[in-house]
Amino acid sequence: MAELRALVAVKRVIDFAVKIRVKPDKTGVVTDGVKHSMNPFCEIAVEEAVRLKEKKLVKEVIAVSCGPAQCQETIRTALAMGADRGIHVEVPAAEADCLGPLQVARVLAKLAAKEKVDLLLLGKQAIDDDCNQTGQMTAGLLDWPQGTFASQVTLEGDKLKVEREIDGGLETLRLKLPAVVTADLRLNEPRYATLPNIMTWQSWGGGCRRGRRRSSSPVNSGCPCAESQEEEDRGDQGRRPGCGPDLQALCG
Amino acid sequence: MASPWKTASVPGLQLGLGCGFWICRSYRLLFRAGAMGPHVVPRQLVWLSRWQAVCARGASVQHRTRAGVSRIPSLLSPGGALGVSPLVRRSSSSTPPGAPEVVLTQQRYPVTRLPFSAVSAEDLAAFERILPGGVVTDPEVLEASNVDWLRTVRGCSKVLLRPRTSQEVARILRYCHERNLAVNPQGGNTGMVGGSVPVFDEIILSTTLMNRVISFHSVSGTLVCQAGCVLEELSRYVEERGFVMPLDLGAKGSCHIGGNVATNAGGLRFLRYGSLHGTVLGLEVVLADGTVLDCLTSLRKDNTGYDLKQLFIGSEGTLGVITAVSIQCPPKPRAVNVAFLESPFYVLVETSGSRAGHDAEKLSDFLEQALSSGLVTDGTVATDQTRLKALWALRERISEALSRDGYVYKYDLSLPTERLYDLVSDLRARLGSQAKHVVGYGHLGDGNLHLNVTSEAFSPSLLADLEPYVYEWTARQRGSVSAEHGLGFKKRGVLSYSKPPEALRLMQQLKALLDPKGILNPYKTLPAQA
Repeated sequence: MAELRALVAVKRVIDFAVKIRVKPDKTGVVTDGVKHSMNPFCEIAVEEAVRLKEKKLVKEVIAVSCGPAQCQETIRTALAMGADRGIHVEVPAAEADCLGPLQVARVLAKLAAKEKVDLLLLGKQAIDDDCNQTGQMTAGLLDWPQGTFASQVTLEGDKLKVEREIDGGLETLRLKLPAVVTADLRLNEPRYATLPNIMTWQSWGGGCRRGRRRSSSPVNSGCPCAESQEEEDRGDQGRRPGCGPDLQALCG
Repeated sequence: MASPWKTASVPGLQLGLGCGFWICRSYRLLFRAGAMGPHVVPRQLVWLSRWQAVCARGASVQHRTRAGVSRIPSLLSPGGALGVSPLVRRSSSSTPPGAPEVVLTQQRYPVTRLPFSAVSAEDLAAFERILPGGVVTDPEVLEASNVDWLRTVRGCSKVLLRPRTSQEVARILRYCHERNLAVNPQGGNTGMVGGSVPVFDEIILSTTLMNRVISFHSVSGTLVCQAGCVLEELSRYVEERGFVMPLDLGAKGSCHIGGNVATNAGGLRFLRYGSLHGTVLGLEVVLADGTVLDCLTSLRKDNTGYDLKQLFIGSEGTLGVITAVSIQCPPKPRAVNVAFLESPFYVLVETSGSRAGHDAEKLSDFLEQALSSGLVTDGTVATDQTRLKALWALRERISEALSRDGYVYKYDLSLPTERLYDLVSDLRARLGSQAKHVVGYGHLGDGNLHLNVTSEAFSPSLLADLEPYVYEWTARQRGSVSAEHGLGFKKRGVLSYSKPPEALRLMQQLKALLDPKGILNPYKTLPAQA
């Protein structure tokens, strides 16, 4: 029915069931060799996007993740769940630590505008930092309406009806598209990726083309705290809008 | 003795397969009985039974524990809610409200009380002297220990004893031996063949308070503990130290290691780590006359004389009471992968290894090969811990699901792999509409079929159609009529379908040698003497 396109942002986090251990030098938590998986709320967001596609309300679902090379595993999971394309915004492992909600929001805002998507879906928060900021910041940067903590998302004509869970109960919003929606726990129950799908996408990433059309284009946007990097297909700007001075101080 | 760590060789897959087993298609029907959805065709494996759906929706999770029903609030993360409930807590005290009363064994089955003494006031006083505070005569507490987990047999014991040490067990048995009082050793009371509860008024000797870990060697992984340690607790203990128990069962939340050894429990890790006959290094056993047999060595190799512990492993409490166990724990695998495949059977496969990337690659290759050859039509792989637990729950909770379907007739058979499922099809045709469901699942890698038939209520005519047909069918295949559940009370008469008369005679001689008065777990395991 609608020719909407959805962008879903997913984050690779330490698996929910793993016992977190603080590093001996107290600079962070142990991440080496620890099981990582897709943030549970991001899974819900992907599921919602795929369900909208199955209801023929959305034409294309693009999964995106920012981070080091291992993020490709997370994108593969999203693809196996039903996304059509994946974009990996490669950030070197060293700089990945200073990748916070604002930086990710900037990347997502740029991508959403570039890909001309109508709907940006995210999980409401990540289970490692519990920030609950990325969705809201992206909406602010794009100046799009936002429906956060969504427990139900439906399309009513050309408006998006979002039922949100707030402190006082439930609130229903009608948003003009394009819009940002962040997923809450009761939005849906994510599916298990089926084996044929897993097999189809298992070699995605690293520029391999196989099967259906998909693009594996690590977009070098660079962490705002680091040096700027030239992007292949963005001739116009070299440097992404950098961090504000206060954030630079935080990152540095 | 088989090495504890076997590698199964399946074409193209040389990993040590954790455990492959399968569920038949009619498994779906089980969930039709209680599930919300119409059927479980896992093309998109968003499978929820009614209670799991309730969990996921943020309602509280109900766990049945020994204390009764406790509420655990749902976790914030969606995956967590799914993963919280799967561990089956087979509590012997969980009497569902409004459940029918269990008929006394002596009324339902043709069995006569042997001429043991009856417990008198002096006996109770003597027990009180041996175990101050460990003598229970309250009928309500006794109720739980008189009925088995499946709620199919019930005894009428008046005394439950809870010793804390092997010395106390020895003193009790010496006393009972002199007084000719029958004793029923009891662990977690999760057995499937009615072997853990009294038939008449045998004294229940419970290992509940013997739950201390005696020692654990952190390099070799040798665990020495008392017989009353709950398997799940032991698992947690050794996993914190980088090891894993060599056995795992659906009943892990309640079963005691002593009971596991006494029944030579198999379980879900059997294929990978082998039988308890291989992984148990030593035992401390109290014999019928109160003698303490200390064979609690932690040595891997000890060929000094006959290996007596092998007699007690699987003896079901009829040759001695196990009071302490020394068991070899394998190192905890760093990489565990679980795949759930549809083929037309549902197969759950777990691989365990030391390197994640390596294992994932091997599993991936296997799955690709299986998919492209058409051997497997669909399936999924667990991507995280919670999914892993959810997939395992599908297999571990079948027993629980069956018990909610009505009265269950359980059979546990070893059969040649090629003919493993034929019996299920045969029975379906034979029983027709008499049975509600005829279900086959089990341990594919071990050639072990768990055949279950359900009906609304116990029906003697259905039982007559099942037995001896099932046993005769199995005997014709030279299979075992009790692969891992043991004989207990309900299967004591069918031993001869799988063992020759000479073997039975020797077993009876051994029983007479070790327990001449026959006070240990009478009416069980061996057939009644003519």
